[in-house]
Amino acid sequence: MTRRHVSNAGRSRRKGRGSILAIVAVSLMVAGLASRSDAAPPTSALAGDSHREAVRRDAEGMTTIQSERRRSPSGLRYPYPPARDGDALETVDLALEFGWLVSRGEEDEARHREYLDPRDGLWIRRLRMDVQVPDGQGRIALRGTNVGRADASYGLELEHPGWFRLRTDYSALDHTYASDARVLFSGVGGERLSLPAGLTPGNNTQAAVDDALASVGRTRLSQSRADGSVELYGRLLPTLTLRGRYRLERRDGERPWGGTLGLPFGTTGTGSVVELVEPIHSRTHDWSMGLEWVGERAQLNVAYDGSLFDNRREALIWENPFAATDLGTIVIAGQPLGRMALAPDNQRHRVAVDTAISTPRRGRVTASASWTRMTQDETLMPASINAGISDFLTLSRRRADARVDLLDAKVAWRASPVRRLRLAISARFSQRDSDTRYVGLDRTSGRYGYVVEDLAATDRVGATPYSHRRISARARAEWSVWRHSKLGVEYEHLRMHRSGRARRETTDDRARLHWTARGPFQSNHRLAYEISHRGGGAYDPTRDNAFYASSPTSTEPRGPSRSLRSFRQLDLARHLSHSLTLRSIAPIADVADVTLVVRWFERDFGATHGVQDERRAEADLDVLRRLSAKTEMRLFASFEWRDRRLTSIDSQPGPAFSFVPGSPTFPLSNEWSWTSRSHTVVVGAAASTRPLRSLDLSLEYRFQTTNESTRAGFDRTGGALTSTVDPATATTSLPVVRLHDHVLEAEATWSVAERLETSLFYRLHVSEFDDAQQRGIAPRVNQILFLAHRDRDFVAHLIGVTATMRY
Amino acid sequence: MTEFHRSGRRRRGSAVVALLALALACRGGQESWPDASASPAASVPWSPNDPGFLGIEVCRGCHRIETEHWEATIHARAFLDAPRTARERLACEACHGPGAAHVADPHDSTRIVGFTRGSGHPVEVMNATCLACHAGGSRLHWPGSRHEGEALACSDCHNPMAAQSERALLRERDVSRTCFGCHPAQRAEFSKRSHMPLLEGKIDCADCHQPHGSIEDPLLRADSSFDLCTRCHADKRGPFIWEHAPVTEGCTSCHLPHGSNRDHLLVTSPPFLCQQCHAQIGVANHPISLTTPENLASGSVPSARDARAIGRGCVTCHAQIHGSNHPSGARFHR
Repeated sequence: MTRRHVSNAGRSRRKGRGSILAIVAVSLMVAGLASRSDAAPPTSALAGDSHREAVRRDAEGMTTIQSERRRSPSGLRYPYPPARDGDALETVDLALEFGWLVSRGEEDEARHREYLDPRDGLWIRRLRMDVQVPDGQGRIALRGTNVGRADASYGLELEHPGWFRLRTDYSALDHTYASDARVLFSGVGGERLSLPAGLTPGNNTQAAVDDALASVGRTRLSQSRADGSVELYGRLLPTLTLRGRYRLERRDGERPWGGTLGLPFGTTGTGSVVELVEPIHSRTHDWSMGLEWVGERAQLNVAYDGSLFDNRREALIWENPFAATDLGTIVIAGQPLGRMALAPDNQRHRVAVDTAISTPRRGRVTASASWTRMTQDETLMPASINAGISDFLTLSRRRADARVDLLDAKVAWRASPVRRLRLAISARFSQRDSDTRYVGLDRTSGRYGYVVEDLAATDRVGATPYSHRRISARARAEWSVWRHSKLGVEYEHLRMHRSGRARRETTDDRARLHWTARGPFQSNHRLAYEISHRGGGAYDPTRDNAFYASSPTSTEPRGPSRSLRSFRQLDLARHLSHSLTLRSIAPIADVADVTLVVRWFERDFGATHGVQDERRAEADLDVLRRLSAKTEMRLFASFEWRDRRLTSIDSQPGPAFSFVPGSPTFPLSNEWSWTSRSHTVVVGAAASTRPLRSLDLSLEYRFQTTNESTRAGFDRTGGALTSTVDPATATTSLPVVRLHDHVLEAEATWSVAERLETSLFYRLHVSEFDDAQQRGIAPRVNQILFLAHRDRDFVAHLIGVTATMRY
Repeated sequence: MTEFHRSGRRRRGSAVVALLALALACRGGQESWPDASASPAASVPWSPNDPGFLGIEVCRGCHRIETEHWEATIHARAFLDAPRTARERLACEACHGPGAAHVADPHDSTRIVGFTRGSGHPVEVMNATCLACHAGGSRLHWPGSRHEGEALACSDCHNPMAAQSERALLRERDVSRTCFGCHPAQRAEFSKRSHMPLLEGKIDCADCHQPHGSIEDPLLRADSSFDLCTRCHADKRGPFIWEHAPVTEGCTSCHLPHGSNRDHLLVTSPPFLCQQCHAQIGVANHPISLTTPENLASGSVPSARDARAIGRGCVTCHAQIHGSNHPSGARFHR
């Protein structure tokens, strides 16, 4: 039945139903439900998309003229269109899928439930309502997935096509970090973590801590995020559009964190390092408003957007579970408390203008400019919470008064002087101007400085804001070699000036050559080669003196501090890079579509010390066979290989080490290197079919394996290792990080009647995991207290049975 | 007389009126058609006063299925029920151009603008047709964008002929599936150990990327990667009184934006990650001594077990690695 066959009686009946449902929908909207994405409808892990019609395909395809499936200009075959549901338009269309979800196996494992809510119970998997106002004057659409669950999504849209749209979205997410955390403290989620009875802050032996840990159970650490937005689109004039958006993000929960009271390196009983639990309780308000004007020869976008971050947890205080020194027979009490400042409230305001004007020779000038100000003026806390070290008077100012201004401007011109040639040039200027205005003054010495780790006052300079300025120019030419082939060349020069960094100026030159071709045989190919080089000014190894000056004398030896002269920091270092990318889309005799992507990337730093080189190879193959509206098959495989090598030295003073600034004695017997190499393989297959008129089956299987190895190289006679490791017997290969995942998803849907379906959903996730940095982790290692979270192997099953009713 | 026939007669009448109105508007200069105001080296190859417009019912005569699918789209709702311009009233011919020549010779695909492979028209013409109405907003940056430079057509990602997706008339059911058609590597990245919740449906590619073009590579929706990431991670935005220099320039020195085999989307694990930049000398064993298996929690020598090599590594102590607002936070301990 097409919408033109809808009877008046049916229409009025549906109108009545529509009115009721519209009231419900508007009520939900007022309640403030809404998504972050501008383009995507809300979805969820278990429910998939809420566009239910997409499941059923129209067997007639999209054309009566051609038997062959149509392809996009790049050769991508269009999917079979959704089955038409003629009477759904102009009235009310309601669908509700509900049932029961059961979870079995190790479903509580953090990696399994990282972003989903697998709890047993009622499962309102999908909710969908469309109300069409007669004569196309408007439309109301309501969507919901996993209703009422921690990973729920809702969306409501009111629309007058082409003129007005009000869209509200809501999306919730439960991010689980650990299900097995061993938290010694009470007060998780709050601003103070307190030790259990029997432990004295700052004065406990390791044995006493062990006793307390023995009675500690497992705690789940997770953060819930709820994100709601209201978005308005309105066409004020045929050429003028207004857009506005408000978004509120709420985060609550906790996540693993860390804190230190001294550095417990080299001995077993000094200092105190604790894995803490950071409380999360924040609200972020974002808003934006913009006008878009489109004329015949010009267009203009003007926008303002702002953001306010409101953190309702200002500080985290924890009671020190250890003593300053615990050598068994000698226990020296340490500072009882630690306190850190959590993320400060902050604001961001941005104004942007984009404009484009057509010019002769099929040309166009585009100009963009934006100005952003970020501010933060949180009240500063004393340098230490512990008595006798510092108080407010040691601070140079009571409030942060930190500010960053960003300026960005870009202008581009492009033209086509002859039909086959396109030229484009652009220039861009951007600047970040940071000003924190804070300096720390050490009252005891009368010098600017700050207090470190609640232990002692040290001499330090004040905070150095990092500012930078970037100027770039780009030119590009594209030549249509023949009708469906294009050759392009692009060159960019970028100069960046930084304040407060070891290298003040870097220059980047990048050239790119790309070729796009269509055909033969309906295929499409894109090949690109890019070479880039970074150079720049002199490298100052003493630049970091101010930041790495003496540490507390009680824990570490004092000495001149600087970077190794020959060392190059990753983000500043000179390097030469090459990358080659091939993307091909090709049909195989009209039986299947094949997408092949191959990429090679290498970067050579050539530094004596620092990252030496990195390489990456990727290959992806995707074979899609859309046999008919009833049957579709897909095979996919991805391969990735990464390799990175670093050379550095240990800083341990020794005979091979000179304290002449910037000039260690060569050869460096304490030199070391590591090579990290990983490969990831993903293979899988998916199929969907309708073997019977009333039965739909879908199946997807994915296997992923990852191995990452780290191999070290060092001189066994030198001092490359920590003093606690015997270089003669030290091993060189860290245990391989391994991840093997098998994920199987299957679903069967049976159409019981015209408006009733029932589905059986099954998901199996088998995971094997081993990370050397988690292996053997215990709640206490020397004077380090861990949450002892470890990602484990797991097998988890999810089974859902649902019924779908449509009206 | 059925509703269908009444509706059809009204529609044909409306089409005639619309054509007359359009002709008058053009003559009087009241309304003209934008030539894809961007003028991306091509423009719509037909004019509004072309005499060959026939109306949707003629199209439906041969293209019944296509028309029915198209009527489920937002284009149809706007064009048929609430047209804003004379062009929109032309329905099928608003995009495909006047159909008279096509009717005269249906086997010559060049007689009418097509948007599929083998339609006989260059991509520039297809895109100019779409941009004639959709040049506003983010499409301002389409000319000169990476996707445009590599000869992508609007209809590579969008399918205006079927309501395949909930929004935006995408080729596939959602944004991510559409992007994966050409970017399958990203699908694999999103299934790694730590990843953004894209495959779980909580974000999509268009949350971070603007496929129609932007001023920042790679088609970012913001002026920089720092600006982009801190739109959601506002707690990392600061400004702080103690800044970590690379954070101010972007997030990708330490994080892989799609997915990683390491925790927290890290490029590699601490301490190796941190040692790529930190090599200051004069502080024994810290931070640049080599970590070996003996330093792990599973190491055989208890005294050698080292916080830098276990669990969160360096950031167990330097927890405020994105910046600190504490007077003692210069080393991000507070």
